[in-house]
Amino acid sequence: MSDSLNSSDKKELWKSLQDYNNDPESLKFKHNEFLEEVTEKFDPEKISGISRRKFLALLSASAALTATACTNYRNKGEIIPYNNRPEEVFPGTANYYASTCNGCGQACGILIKTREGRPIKIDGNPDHPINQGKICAKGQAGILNLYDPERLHNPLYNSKIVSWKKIDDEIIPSLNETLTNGNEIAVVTGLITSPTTKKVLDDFVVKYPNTKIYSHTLLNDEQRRNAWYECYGTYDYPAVKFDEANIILALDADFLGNEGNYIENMRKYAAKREVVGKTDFNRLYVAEGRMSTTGMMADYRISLSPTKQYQFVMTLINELIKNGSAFSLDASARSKVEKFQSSFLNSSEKEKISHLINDLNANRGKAIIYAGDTLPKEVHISVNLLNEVLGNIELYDYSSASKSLVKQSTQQEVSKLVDSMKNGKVGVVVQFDCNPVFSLPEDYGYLSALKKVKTVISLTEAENESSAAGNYTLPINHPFESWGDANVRSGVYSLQQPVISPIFNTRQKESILLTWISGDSNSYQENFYHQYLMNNFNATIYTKKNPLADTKTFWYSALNDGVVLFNELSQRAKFNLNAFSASKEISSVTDYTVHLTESYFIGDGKFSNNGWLQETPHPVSKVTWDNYASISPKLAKQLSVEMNDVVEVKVNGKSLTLPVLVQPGVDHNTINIEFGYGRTVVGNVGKDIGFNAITLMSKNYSSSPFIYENVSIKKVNGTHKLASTQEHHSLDDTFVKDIHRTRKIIQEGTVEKYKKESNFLHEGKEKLFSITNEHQYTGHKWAMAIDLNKCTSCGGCVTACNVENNVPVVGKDQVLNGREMQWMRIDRYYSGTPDEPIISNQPMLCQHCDNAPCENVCPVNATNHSPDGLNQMVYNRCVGTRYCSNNCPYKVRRFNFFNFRDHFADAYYENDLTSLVHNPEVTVRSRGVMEKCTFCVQRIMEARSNAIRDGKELKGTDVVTACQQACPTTAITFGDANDPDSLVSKLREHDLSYHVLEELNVKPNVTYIAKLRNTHHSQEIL
Amino acid sequence: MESMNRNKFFTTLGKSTLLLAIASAIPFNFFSKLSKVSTEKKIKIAIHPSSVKRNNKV
Amino acid sequence: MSTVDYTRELSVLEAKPALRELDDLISKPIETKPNKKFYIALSITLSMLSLLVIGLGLTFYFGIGMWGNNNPVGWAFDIVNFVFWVGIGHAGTLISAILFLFRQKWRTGIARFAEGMTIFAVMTAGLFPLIHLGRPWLAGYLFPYPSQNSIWVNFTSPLLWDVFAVSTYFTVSLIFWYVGLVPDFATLREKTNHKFKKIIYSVFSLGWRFSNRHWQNYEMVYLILAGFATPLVLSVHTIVSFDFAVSIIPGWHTTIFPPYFVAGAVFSGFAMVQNVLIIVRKIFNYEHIITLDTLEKMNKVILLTGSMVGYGYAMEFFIAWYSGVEAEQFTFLNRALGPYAWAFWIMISCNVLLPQLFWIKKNRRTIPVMFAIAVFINVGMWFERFVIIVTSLSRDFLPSSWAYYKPTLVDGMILIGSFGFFFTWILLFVKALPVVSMAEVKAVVDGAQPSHKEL
Repeated sequence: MSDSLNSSDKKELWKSLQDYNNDPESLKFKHNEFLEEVTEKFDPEKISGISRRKFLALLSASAALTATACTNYRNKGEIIPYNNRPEEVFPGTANYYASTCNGCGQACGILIKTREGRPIKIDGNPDHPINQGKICAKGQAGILNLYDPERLHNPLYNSKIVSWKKIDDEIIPSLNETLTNGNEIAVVTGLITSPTTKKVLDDFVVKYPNTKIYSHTLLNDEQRRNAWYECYGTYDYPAVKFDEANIILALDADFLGNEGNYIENMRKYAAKREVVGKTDFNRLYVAEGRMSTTGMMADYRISLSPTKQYQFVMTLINELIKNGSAFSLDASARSKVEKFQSSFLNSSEKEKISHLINDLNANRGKAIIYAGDTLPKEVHISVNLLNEVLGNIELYDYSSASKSLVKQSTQQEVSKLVDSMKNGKVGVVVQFDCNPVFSLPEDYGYLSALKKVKTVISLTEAENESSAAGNYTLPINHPFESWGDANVRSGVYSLQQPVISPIFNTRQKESILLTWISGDSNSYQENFYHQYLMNNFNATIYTKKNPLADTKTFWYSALNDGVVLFNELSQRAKFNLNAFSASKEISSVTDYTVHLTESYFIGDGKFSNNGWLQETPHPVSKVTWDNYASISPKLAKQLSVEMNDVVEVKVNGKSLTLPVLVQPGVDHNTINIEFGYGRTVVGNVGKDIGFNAITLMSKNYSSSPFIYENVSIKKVNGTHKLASTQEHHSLDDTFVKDIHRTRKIIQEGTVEKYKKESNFLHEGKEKLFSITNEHQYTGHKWAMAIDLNKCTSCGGCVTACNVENNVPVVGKDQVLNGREMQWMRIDRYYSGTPDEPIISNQPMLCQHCDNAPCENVCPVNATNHSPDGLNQMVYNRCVGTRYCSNNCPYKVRRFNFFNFRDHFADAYYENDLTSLVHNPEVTVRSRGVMEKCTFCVQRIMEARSNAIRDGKELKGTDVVTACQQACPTTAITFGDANDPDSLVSKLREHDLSYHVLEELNVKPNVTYIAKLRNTHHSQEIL
Repeated sequence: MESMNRNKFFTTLGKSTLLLAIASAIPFNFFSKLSKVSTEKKIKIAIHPSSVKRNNKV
Repeated sequence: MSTVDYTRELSVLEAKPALRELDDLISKPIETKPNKKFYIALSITLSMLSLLVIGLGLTFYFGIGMWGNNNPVGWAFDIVNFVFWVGIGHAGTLISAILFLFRQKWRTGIARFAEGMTIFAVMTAGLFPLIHLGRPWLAGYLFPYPSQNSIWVNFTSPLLWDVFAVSTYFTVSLIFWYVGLVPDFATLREKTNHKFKKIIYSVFSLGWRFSNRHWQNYEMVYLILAGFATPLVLSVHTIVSFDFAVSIIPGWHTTIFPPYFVAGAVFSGFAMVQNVLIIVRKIFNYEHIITLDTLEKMNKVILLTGSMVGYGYAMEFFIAWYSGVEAEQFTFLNRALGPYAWAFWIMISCNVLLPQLFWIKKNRRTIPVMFAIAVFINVGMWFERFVIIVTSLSRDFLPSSWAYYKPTLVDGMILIGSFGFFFTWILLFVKALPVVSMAEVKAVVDGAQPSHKEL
């Protein structure tokens, strides 16, 4: 403001009247910008030195720094691609290796699928003529044994880790010492299926001539072999052409479940249960004292104690020779036979037996009578005669006989060994991959005798009862880390190759022996047995085949195929009638009998520590994690016991306390117990699981080591909860009886009815209509068909699915709570009466319904439908409300109630080793997430990407689901329903096709083919 | 004045945020691993050198 | 000739208290410090609440496996408790909203408390959809947020309708309750001398000045909110019933569920409200505000809805038979005769037989009798949900998947804990807010409304 302003000048801009009038007050104001005292607290020193510019720069700098600081500190490791890729490794694609399975003595050919160097799946080798691309449940789930964290890692001497060199340096002198002392070296083995291993053992005997080889297997077919030897002069018995038999009579013979090469048997049996095309069904008669899977498949089933089988066979011979005989019997044989009339069979079975006799008569030469491995030699001899009489020997396949490489040691030989051990005459005992302390009956006294031997060496994969009783425990390679071969069937030589380098400090068991044979601990090499095997192969197989290629090429091609075939026709021998005439007669007993049989999934105990197999439900009882005494409802009522009650079974002073399972259809006087349980020295999975049936065995048995008489059974206090995946209701309970029939879950018929009226299943069925526009599926529509005529409930599909899809093991307590996680299950339904039940099996999995009830109700859209017909489960979206499982009428959805990876037995499966078994193509689910069958969507995607890569159309036949691949009878068909040529679309339109719970209109895509029983009637016997 | 306190408050806040952001980038994970004794040998998986792969598709 | 004049309206409040007296009486619990009895009660409910906390902690840490749920029984105590608590909430809204619209003055003594119970019951119920999830930390997926993956929630799922229904119910009830509280906060603000309390009441009373304009706006808002809340009484439990009715499981898939559930909800809600009110009126001496007439009217509602529930049970059985669907018939026979028959008969005796005692006037007007009956009704209603959910799931279509369900200790802890949670809130409510609506009660005292009728 200019001071020179004239106070009288007119102003143009003024703020107030005082201003206008140039009041001195207002002039003073104009000098000071602020009112008085306002700026008193203002101190320039205190102003922050940061200018606005600087502040903004700092802000942006710190923001940038923060952004860089937001790194993921959880270092998950690095993935570095190969610079120079090894030839056989394609990360992301699988390699397949042909090998041989060691799960039982049948030596089926397998293909081991590996990913990034680790085996993750086992399937059958399609080139192997016996199992033809299929493998059983034990073979499937046995892969978990490779990744068992409780495998032995290092050699042990008295439980302390020592080096291999030290072991060899101690043992070789010990072996030499026995030579000088004149003591015996006892080599105890299990079943030898490998000719090269046999050669190693022979070489061992050459080097140490005081060696005796003893072979003992708990589950053996010695009765059958000895009978065959007496009848035909050889221990090798031929295979049976079940696929050409019109009538099959199985006597306590679980040939479809557990005996012989049951994969082959199942395939052959199913060949005559075909509904597509001409229906030319066989008829299966089963006479057994327990309920086996073969019994479940029977068209006619007779409940018969194993002690009565002898009379039964003799009665049949007696009846059938009345109509002539293809084999002439002499007088003594005739008189032996004529003693047996059919009086002892009660009237309820008379109709079945007359059908049987008529059928056997009408089908001479086209039927087979097959006795079980557990039956006494005398029964087998009689059965052999019966087959001769009927001319059924046409069905013996001599081109493929079951060979015995090393004969089982007899009872005398084992007793002599035990005596020698007790008397100090045995210097060294080598337990060569076997468990005699567990598998030999206790009254041999093997364990106490073993303690008297100075050097006991056990060659084993994992600690067992036998290795715990010895001093040297030498860990051997798992079969997938081992070389080997097998020749258990004539004309078939199969090879076993390792696919993975030994994970731990283990050695091939034959290489250990070879080192001792060489006498020098330094001679051991990693490929010791590999060389030996190749040499033996060249000397025997190569020479026999005499191919054009050189040895190396031939060897590689043999390893590629896994099997070498050659002609080895056995000599057809003449039946030795004296064997029959001289055979002992077996009288039946009227009191209780104990029948000890092989379990379906545990074998002789070698799979005790395998959680997948322990958790696979028993095909008949659906019990997991336990064995039991299987008794009939009538016996249970007599003893006043129910399921889970405990009984004490006593035979010849030996007793076993175990829980009871009430099994309809079992013979009233027979108590059935399965082997393999009750192991004491085993890992955490198998510890305290089940009850040891071997306790009841004796070295002195009357007819068969598996059948004992003079049994007493009584109820004792206590209960033992059996973890069964299905509820057990008495067949007398009318409230819940036959619901599976009234609700048409199981629909069955007879062959007669089908022949008369092929459309009987669909008659009266109403067509369901929809009130909305249904989604049209152009392109692929994945569907599955399951033929119930062929399903034997073997469990191969269940275990294959478990392995393929990383299904966790949950443990017994969770199975008791109903939380087993298997995506696929086989439901078992009873109809009929408690004494004569009709059993139906039905594999149940996600039906991938077109109108899926689960999809509507998920609040977060975690389950929806794909355009090619799959019901999809999106694990990362699932919050776990469980509404989908509630709404699923089939209850196929499984919820992760815990993080089952670390829940089982103190996080047993959370270790570096076991997690390697997972299939990398399938998500491992977390806690709180729902899961279910995906129709192996990972395989569909793989097939699709392969088709795209090859520039071809994806065909329905390109995709093989895990269950379909595993099923030995090809009961499961999978493919594209929109392809009119595919088998699955034909089966969907088949006269016998039906859907479960069709009336709900959920439109399931799994079609079931109704089971036809081949009885003589049109109506079912219910 | 009150604005000085406000100023001071916000500068303190900003500085501490900066400090926290930088501190969060320090690899504590790595340092703890140095002091930990490695218990078990890592399992090495290697394809067996002599195995023969099947060359035809399954 | 009868001397009773039926045209005369019964006084809502007895003994004609002065208006100021009412204010003092109702605000007395708020102004006094809690006494020993209160602390004892609070310690009981807090220990029950701690059971909830422990149960939830175990569940969150280990998983749903800590409960008894299995295959096929995917829902058990969790959803039973959810439906139970949501049902209890319905009484409050019915009393405060529907009875308001029907101009039933006798509701004024109990409306505030009942609505408060609704809110606490809905809060308790709201716990269960969250904790029953397998992965509760992903509960956000249940809400429709715009996502990069263009994935929305599944609007055809009843569980999602639950999310909307229950959250709407809670929100509307809370707002309705709060609006009713505003004049009372103002009253408290005027009465109190405590500096801190005065600030709180001032804030919450939103500057209420008791002016005419305020009252006019208040009444309009209250009316609208009552109209808004009324359909919720019917719709919320209908939607909860859709959780079952929309599924295909026999025993669940039935169209009777919406009215059946709503009737059941009102039934159990009234029983719970009646129980708590009897305790409250005794402790605080509100006998002439929450009169015996009021309680009798509530019992009549209980009798009515109980009979509706009983009719529903009978209809279910009849339709199951009439339909000819085997699975449906089996399910109902299984309820009465199968492994859970014990639960079924508890339900029938508590829900159908016991309430019939209310036909007798003496039972309706005797405090111990009605208290006991109401307790049993709640037990019975809990079992009704248990029977519906667990029996239908444990034995459904395929006999191979049948299994028995047994609750675990954690289930029990969470059930007891939910009661602890609910009652803790009520105890805190009783000490912090007026349990009777001062403004409304003063409006229905004899002589409060000007009229030209002869008194």
